[in-house]
Amino acid sequence: MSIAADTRTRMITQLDEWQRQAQGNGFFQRVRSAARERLEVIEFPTIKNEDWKYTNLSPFFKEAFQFPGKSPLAKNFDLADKPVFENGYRLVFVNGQYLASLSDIPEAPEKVLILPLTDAVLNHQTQVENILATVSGKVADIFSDLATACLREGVFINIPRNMQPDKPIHIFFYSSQSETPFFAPVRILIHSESGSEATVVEHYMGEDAAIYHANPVTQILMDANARLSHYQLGFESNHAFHISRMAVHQRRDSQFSGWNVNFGGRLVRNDIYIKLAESGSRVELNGLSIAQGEQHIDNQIFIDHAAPRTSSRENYRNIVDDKGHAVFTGRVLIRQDSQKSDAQQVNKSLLLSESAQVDTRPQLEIFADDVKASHGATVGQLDDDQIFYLRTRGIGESDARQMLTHAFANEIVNAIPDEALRNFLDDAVQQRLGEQKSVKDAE
Amino acid sequence: MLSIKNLQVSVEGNPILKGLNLEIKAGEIHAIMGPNGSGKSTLSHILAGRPGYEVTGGEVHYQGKNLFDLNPEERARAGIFLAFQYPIEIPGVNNTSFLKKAVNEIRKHHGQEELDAVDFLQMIKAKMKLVGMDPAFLRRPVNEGFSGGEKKRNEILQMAVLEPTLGILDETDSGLDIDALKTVAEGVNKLRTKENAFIVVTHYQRLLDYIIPDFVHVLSGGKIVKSGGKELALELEEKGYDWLPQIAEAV
Ligand SMILES: Nc1ncnc2c1ncn2[C@@H]1O[C@H](COP(=O)(O)OP(=O)(O)O)[C@@H](O)[C@H]1O
Ligand SMILES: [Mg+2]
Repeated sequence: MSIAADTRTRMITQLDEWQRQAQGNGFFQRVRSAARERLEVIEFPTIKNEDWKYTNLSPFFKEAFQFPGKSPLAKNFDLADKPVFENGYRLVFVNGQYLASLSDIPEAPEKVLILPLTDAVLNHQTQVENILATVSGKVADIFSDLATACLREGVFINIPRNMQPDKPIHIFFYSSQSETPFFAPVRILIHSESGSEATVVEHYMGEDAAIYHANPVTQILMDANARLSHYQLGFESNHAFHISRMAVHQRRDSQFSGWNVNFGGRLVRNDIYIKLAESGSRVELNGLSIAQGEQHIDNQIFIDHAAPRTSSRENYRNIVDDKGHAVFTGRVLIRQDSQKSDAQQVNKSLLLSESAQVDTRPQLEIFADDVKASHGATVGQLDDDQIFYLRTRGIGESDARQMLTHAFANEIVNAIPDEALRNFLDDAVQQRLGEQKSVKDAE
Repeated sequence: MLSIKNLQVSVEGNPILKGLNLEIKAGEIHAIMGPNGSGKSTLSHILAGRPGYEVTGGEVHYQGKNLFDLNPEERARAGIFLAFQYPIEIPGVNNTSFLKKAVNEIRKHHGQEELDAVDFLQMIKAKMKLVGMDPAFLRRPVNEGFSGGEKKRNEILQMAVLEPTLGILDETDSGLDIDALKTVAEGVNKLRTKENAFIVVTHYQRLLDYIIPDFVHVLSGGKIVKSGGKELALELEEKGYDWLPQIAEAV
């Protein structure tokens, strides 16, 4: 048997054991067993699968990740030295498990609901079910089915009609080093009701040497005229596997702004599916990935223009150094009846070393005739004239390179509307690039 | 301060400078004139340390040191400043952080304390006034979307801020209207001391009405073919370059 098949068998065996012991109400049980059944017929993808052409999962198969509940919960965990945001509601997860003691959510929620999923299914089951049923990602996807087959940990957010929460909502997922590598599936469910406006941040962070498999699945339902700014900030450990799925279902004139930042992780794969289901809905997706060392970061985006007058903007940038590898696949489908739609896609990559690698694939499928669609991909290096110009002003060569690399990232970071987040990311970019520089200067 | 002896430089195997000699002392202003393609920018670049040129012969000493032992940033820190003929645009790097970094690198080199944000802003605003620049330019990315004249002013601003010992202006006057030209000249004249020197590369004599050179050199075919006082510029203005014998030969 192949290592992929071995892994699948092992995971399913563990899953069955987990399901037997897991508590949870009938709703959880139902959802889990449906996913468990689908797993019978799904295999792990290989590079022969077009969607996985550039991402080889073999390093993933080498680790025996333990199922949830078996992973030790960090007892003495505290937030003191963690970059949490002061201004915001907060939900804290450690090694995939919710920590109520460190979270800060509205106590007796009447309007905006911000709850751990385990609480949400008790009193808001219909709403949870509504999101799960309406917002679907790719069918037959082993990573979302694995996560669903052990559905338990996660977040449920409901922003009622015309409401605007007074603060952003920060969800902090921390993974610490543990004796055995662990599997951390989490679910983020968001319903933005009509006319509401909110900011949600998924912030992933891992201890330096921690090995784990973070498997977040995000499902977002946006009603008419709703607005949502949504951030996925990936600061996973350099040894972690981060495989995320996100699906967004957008109704009439809703507007989704997404920011997807990937700095950490040994192997990162993000699949984003946006369904512009009703007319006038708009999506803007921004991405910034920094792949260094042997990091592999793969973003796969599918925007489905399924209604007229829908608009999408994608602006993704990669910075790749050392033996890093960045992959971008941007599929855009404009269906036959989606007239007057508009799709723009830009992917720019900066290669900082000889062995850095980038694969970028725009995939435009356009079946409507009265639409605007464009895409552009560039892969380049730092500009020698710019480096020289900075050096003639007394700035050392490696500082000059770092400034220019930072500038490349800034074109994404500077467009972040929330000031605190913008500053946070600006520092994070500086730090990430600076760490690399100090390694190189030392060599 | 600067001594160039028999300098020979090639680009991709093509000789551009073919035995150039020039001596510059502190307190002097040297104008270098010459037809297009004669090697003026090549000379400016080689003094600033631009990669891609091959020095095939001769030597250059700056303040007694072999210039070619210093990389571009070391030359800048030692007081060499090049105002580019075509200043480079740097999207994503704002003018303030760029200038602050540059100033502090040079201060560090001289064992001075780095300027903090407040002191820096105070200093930079005074210098901007000197070169007639709107402080709004501080927030913009370096040279990006600047007009030709704005880029040139930005070069002079950087020179005013970095206070070089040897300032090299490569056709800073081309493309400038008369007001901008006067501002540039005033900038140079205010910076001028007994301790520093300037090389003013120009195509036109009109700049030299405002920056009075001590020497004028004609560069042609990779060599200095004639040197003189400021009257030479007027003569060139009147007669062009063709009357110089070596030019005919070089063409
Ligand atoms: N990078 C280069 N590659 C090839 N030739 C060059 C390069 N730079 C300059 N040259 C050539 O060198 C000669 C001198 O150019 P330059 O120094 O720019 O002259 P000037 O500034 O006097 O107009 C020209 O013939 C030009 O074509
Ligand atoms: Mg020139």
